[in-house]
Amino acid sequence: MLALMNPFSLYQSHVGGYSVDQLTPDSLSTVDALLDARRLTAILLIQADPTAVANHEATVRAFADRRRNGELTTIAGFGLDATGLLADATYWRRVTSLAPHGLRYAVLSVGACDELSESGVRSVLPATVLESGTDDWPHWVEVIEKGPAPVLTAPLRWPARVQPSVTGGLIEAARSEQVTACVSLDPATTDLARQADMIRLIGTDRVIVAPGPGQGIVGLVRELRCRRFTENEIESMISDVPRATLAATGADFLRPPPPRLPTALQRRLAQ
Amino acid sequence: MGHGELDEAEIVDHLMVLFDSAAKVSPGLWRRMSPPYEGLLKAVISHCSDECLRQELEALATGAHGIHRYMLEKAVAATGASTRLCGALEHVREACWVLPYRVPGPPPHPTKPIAEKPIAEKPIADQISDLHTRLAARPVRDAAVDLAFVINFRAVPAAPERLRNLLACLAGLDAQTVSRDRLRVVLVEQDAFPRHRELLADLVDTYLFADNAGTYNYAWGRNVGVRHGVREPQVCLLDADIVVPTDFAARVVEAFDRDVPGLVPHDSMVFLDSASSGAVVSALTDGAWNAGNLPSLSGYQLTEVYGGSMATTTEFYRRIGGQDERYEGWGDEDNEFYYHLRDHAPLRRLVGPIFHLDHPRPQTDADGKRINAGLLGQARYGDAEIGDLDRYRGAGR
Repeated sequence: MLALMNPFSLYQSHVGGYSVDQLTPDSLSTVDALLDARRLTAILLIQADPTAVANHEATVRAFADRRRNGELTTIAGFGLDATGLLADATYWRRVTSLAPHGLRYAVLSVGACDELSESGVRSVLPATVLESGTDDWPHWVEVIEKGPAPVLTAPLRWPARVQPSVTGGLIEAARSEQVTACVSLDPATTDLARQADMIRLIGTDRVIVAPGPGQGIVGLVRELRCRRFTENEIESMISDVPRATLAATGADFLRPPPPRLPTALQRRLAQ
Repeated sequence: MGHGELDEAEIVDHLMVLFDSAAKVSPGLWRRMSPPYEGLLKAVISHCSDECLRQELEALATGAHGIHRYMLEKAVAATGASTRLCGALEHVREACWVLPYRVPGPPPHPTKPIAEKPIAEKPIADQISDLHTRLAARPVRDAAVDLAFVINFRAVPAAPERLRNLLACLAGLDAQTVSRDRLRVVLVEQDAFPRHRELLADLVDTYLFADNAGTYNYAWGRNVGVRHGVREPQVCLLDADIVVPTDFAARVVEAFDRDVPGLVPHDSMVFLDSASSGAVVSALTDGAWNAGNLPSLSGYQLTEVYGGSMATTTEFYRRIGGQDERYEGWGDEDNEFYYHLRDHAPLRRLVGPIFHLDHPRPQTDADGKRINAGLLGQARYGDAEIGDLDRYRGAGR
C-alpha cells in the first residue's frame, strides 16, 4: 500500500497553527504510529512550503532510516510545488544525499513552474525521472506516470488545464489498487470540489485524510457533505492518528466516538 | 501555506471569546475548545512589541484583572502583520467548534423593513402575543404531508422565553418554502399539567400532553411524539428553541434516499444572543424571515454538534428503538442518539445553520461533570417500550 500524505499535517498537530518548527520526537512518533497502524510499506511526501526545508530534511532522514532498517520497502517521492525550492539546487543535493541507496524518486511539480525551477530540478535529478524539462504540464504528468517510480500526488496548485490528466492518473493508480490516497490539504490553494470528485472516484475506503489545524479539513468536510457523502464515509477516511493527536491538544476536528464504538481505523483493521 | 491578511478586528473578536461567559454555552464543549483560543492569546502576547501592554495581557491571561476590548485592539496592533498570529487564528477557525458569529444584516427591505428598534426591548410577553397573533392565521390542511415535525417542550412561567421560543419555532415552520399544508407538526408538552394546551393546540396538527412533573426527559418526549403523533414516513425532531431557515424542510425531504435513513439537517447551530433572538422574533412576526433578509445577528456558532434537529425515516426510528429514555435532564441525549443512528445506518449531514434562540441556560453539569456522561457507551435495554405516556404519570408530585 502506498500512502500519500502531507507531513505538514503531522507537524502542525503538535505545534499548532502554521508553525514550521523543527520536527519533534513526538511528531516522529506520530509518523511511526501512522505507519504501524496502516501497515504501510511506502510513503510519498508532499511538501509545499519553501520555508520548511528543515522539516522536510528531518522527515526524509527519518524515513530513510526506516527504510535502511527494512521497514519501508518501496519508494519515497517528493512532489514539490514551490518554485523557490525547485530552483534551489543546494536543497536538492541535501535531499538526495539523505536518501538511502536505491531510493527512487519521482517528482511531480504541481505549482508555478518556470525556467528557473526547471533548471534547478534538472541540475540535480536523474534524467530518467525527468525526461525533459518543460512547463507543459500534461507532458510532465505523462513522464511521471511512465517513470520508474509510479508516484502520483494529490496536487496542490494545479493549473485548471492539467487537472483532468493528473486526476486521471491518480484514479488509474487507485484502480490498480496500488494507492491509498491521502488528500493533501491547503485551504488557500486546494480545489476542494475536485478533491471531492477524486474521492468519489477513488472510493472512500481507500482515502486517508491526515489533516492538521488550518489545513482546510473543515472546508473539505463541508464540500463532501454538499456532495452527499455520508458521515460514516467521511469519518472512515479521516486518519485516526492525527485526530487522536489533535484531541490531546484540545483541537479535535471530529468528535471521537464513545468508548463502546470501535474507531474507524479499528473497524478497518478488524476486517 | 495560505495565510490571509492580518485582520485585526477579527483577531480581537476571537480573543474576546475567552472572556465572554456566553461562549461557554456548553461547558464540556468549551473545555475542549479553549486551548486554541488560549494559543491565540499567547501568540499575541509573544509578538506584542509594547512591553507594558504585554505585561497587562499576561496578567489578563492569569485572570488577574478584567478585560477591555481596547486593550486587545492595541495589543494586536502592536504585533504587526505576524504570520504566526494568522496561523493561530486559522487554528482557532479550523479546530474550534465555538466561533463568534456576526452577520451585519442586509440593507433595509424596500417594502418590508426590519424593525429598526431591536425587538429585544419589547417585553417577552409582547413578543409572545405578536407571534401568537401571526400563527393564529394558519390555513387549514388540504394536501398530502411530506414531513412530520416533532417538537417537545416545557414552558414554566418563570422562564417566559421558553414559550416565546416555541412560538418562534412554529412561526419558522410556517415560513418554509414547503407549504405548511405539507408539513405535520406534532407538539408534546411535558409538564405536570397541560399548561399551554389552550394556547397552542389549535396552532399545530397534533397536540400531546406527556404527564411528567419531575425532571424533564427530552428523549422520552420525542419518543412520545413519534409513537403517538406521527403517521408520515419521515420525521424531523426539532428542539423547541430552534428557528430554521426557510428552505430547511425542503432540503430535509430531498436529502433522504433509500440507503440513508438518518440525517443531521444542519452543520452549525448559531446561539443567538438576547438582542438577536428578539430580532429574529421580529422578522418572523413581520413575515420577513428568509435567508436573504436576515436581520443583523450576533452570537456564537457551534459546529459539528448533534443537538437542535435530527431527521429519520419513521420506520427506522421505531426499528432502532427511538431515543434512549434513560437520559433525564439536559445533556448527551442527542449525542447518544447520533451514535445510535450511526451504528445502524449511514447518516448524512446537511450544510447550513439553524438558529437557537436565547433563554436561561439549564443545568447540564453536576460537580463539573456532564449529567448523563456516565450513560454514554452503555448498552441500551433490549426491546424496551418507548414513548409510554404513563411512564411518569402521577410521579414527582
